Amino acid sequence: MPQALAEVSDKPQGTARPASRAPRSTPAARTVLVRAAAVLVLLGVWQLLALAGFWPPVILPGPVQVWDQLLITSDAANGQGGYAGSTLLERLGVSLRRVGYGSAYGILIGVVLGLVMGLVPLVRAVTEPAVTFLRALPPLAYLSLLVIWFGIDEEPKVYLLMIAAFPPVAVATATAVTGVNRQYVEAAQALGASRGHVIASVILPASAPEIITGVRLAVGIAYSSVVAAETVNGADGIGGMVLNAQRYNQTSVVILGLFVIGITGLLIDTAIVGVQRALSPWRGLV
Amino acid sequence: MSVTRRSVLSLLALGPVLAACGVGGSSSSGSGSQRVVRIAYQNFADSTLLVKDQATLEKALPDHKITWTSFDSGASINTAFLGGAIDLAVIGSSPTAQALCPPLNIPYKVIELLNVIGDSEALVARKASGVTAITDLVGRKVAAPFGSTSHYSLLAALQQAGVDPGAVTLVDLEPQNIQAAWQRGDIDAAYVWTPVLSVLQQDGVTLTDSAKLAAAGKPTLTFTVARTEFLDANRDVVDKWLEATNRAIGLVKTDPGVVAEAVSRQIGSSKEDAIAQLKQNIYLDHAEQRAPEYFGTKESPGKLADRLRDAAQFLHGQKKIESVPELETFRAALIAPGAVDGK
Amino acid sequence: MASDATALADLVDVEHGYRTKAGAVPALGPIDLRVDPGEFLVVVGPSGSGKSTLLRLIAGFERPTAGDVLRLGGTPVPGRDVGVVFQQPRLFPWQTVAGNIGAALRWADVPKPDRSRRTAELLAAVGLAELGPRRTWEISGGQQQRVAIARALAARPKLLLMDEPFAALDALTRERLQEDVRSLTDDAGQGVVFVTHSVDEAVFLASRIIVLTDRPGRIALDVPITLPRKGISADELRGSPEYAAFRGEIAAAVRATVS
Repeated sequence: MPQALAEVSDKPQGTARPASRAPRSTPAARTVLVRAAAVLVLLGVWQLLALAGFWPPVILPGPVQVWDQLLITSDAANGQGGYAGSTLLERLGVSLRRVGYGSAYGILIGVVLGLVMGLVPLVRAVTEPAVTFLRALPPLAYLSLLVIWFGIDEEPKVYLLMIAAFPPVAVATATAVTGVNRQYVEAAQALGASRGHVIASVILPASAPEIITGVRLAVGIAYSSVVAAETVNGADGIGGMVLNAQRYNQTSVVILGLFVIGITGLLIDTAIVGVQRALSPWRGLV
Repeated sequence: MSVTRRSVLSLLALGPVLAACGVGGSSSSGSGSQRVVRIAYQNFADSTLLVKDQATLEKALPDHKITWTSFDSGASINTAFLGGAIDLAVIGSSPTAQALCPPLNIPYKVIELLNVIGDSEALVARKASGVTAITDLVGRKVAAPFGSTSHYSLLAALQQAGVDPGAVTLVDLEPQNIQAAWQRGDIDAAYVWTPVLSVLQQDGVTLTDSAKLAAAGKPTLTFTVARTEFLDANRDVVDKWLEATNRAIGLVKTDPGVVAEAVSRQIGSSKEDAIAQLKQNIYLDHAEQRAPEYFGTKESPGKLADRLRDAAQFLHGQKKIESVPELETFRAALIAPGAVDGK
Repeated sequence: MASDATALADLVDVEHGYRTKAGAVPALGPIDLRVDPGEFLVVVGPSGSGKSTLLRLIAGFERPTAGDVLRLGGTPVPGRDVGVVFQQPRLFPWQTVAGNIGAALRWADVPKPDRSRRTAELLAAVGLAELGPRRTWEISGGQQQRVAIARALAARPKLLLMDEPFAALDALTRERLQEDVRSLTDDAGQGVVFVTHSVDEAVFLASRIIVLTDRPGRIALDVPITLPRKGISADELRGSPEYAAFRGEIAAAVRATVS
């Protein structure tokens, strides 16, 4: 408040903010409505295109057919246990578990490595090219190696997702740690904080918002890599379903799988943004 | 050799296929001054690669534009046919059967039997697993590339031996991953094709192969299929194709070295590998294809339609097609090579 | 100046400069300065006179390019024997108000059972007893600086260093905080080094004032301020003729440095 006069002097700064936040809920509701309407319009256009029959339904099934597949593949008692032995929900669970483990390991490695990279310039100089290198590799390219090393069960899939997930976290953490305001570190040092205290109680919490942004990226990449991971003995996952359906020109199942992956991915991302708000409410305020 | 082998990239291949479909309608053959012939092939050792390598068709049809497009799997070839992007294709019996059934109902005809898959695909068990017969596979892990001819043959072999497929743990793996899993001891057996098959056989027991299954009435086959509309409008082109492939099939038997050289140039393998792979299949010239075992004649149709219907029934059991049409539908989709050949 | 007790801070022949592309730029010195227990030393000087540098040398954030700096007889390193209050409160936004003080107590090795009581005491001492659970950005700038002072006092440092702590605050808040700081730091034995460019603030707070020259800063004036520290209200003090006399003397000295 640079031009504040004496009489408005000691007013808590925070009071202005909840006030400015409150009226935002109405536009937010409108945004949701606009988005819902946009989705409905897209679905309508899609259905019309499908009905118009420019392409055979095997190439472009309509939303109704995809919805039918949703019902069929969710039905465990349909004679093939959903789709090829597992229901959609079971498949989603299997894939989410893989993404969960892969992301968790990837995030752990990424935060630790990124922290060291951010704190020790030498380590950063050495590891940054390697991390960038890994980041540039398409997961399918190293899947065969993982199979040779770790077999065909859960390990290569989880490791693939881990390798896909950790670089964005490492890079985000390293950047955040390097960018932590020196003033906080000095303040902590002057209060008697040891190096360990400074890392645990200043650098990590100060970097948290950016680390979580890295985590968002990582989980997104891991989720989008699940189809690649499930090309090897992954027929029980949602990616395995997409691959299997693609092999038999079951386009509506392919589209269903993509929608399930996309929508759950969106939900997961929203959840992470929620965690970010809860963990670092000061973001953008300080 | 397998006809529906796919690479791990097959999903990625769907994009270009769809893109090709988008422009497929406008570039169909017959339009414009220069007629276009679009051929789909797959990268495995076969006599048709000699036709491609020697540009036989291009020389025979100088006023035509011939394009050869490589596909990873029969499924993606079927997708391309749906979009009208392909006129002729080299494709396996399993995807062909699927294409002839609803919902795909692709309007194409089987015009030629390029080969019968022999011992180039086999079911092998690891020596260390102690498995010596198909019945020993109960409770074991058996790998095959799903959706391939090997997958079909594996299930046919289990059925023949009276083993419930549900009692066996089936694992979907690409050939190179089958090799890795085999060496690590993650799987007990695999139904796969060469060259991975040869590696597995070094420390494995061959339980059965596709030649034996073919003899027992469960053959897996490679066809040439032609888009019906194209076939009706371009008999001359199809005749040239059949002439060229029949000559190539003959050469596989009489002078395999020439064919192997062409194959090795086209798929980048060694000449020895190419010869070995070629020899593992059974090749029939057009006269032999008209035998009652295969196409037969118009008056007395051969067994080929029954074989396709068998494959369709297998797919129906897997819920990959909606229903299995009557035998007549399959018969109508078969045109014995002599019938268009005119010889 | 001579005293038998260990000086809180002792600077001998200290010089400090900064390296730039154009070469070394001298910022401070040579300077000799001794701060004794119980002293409230205010450093006044124009911008660029090296006031903050002097403070950072004593705090241990920087090492002098020449001469020796001793704090409590040893080489200064940032730590809990010195409290530092910066111009910006530098509160940790990921902690609540109480959490900021709790962290300082933890780093000062105050046993866990005592921390909440000490936190309450410290907040009460700066008049913010009820603000413990609040977020740091929800309170005013003046309140934030009070929390920063409470946090700096958490480890009961022998020496408190304050670097223009009220410069960013409005006039009313600044005066209130000056009064609080004047009474807070009357502890026996505790010393304060307080940097400001405000002559009024200096005369009101100090028991001793040094005026630094323009860059590189040297001591232009070093005077004890003999105004009463107890038994007089702030308004009475500010209105007294002695206050005006000191104010005039210091202001003249500051003006002389920039002429």
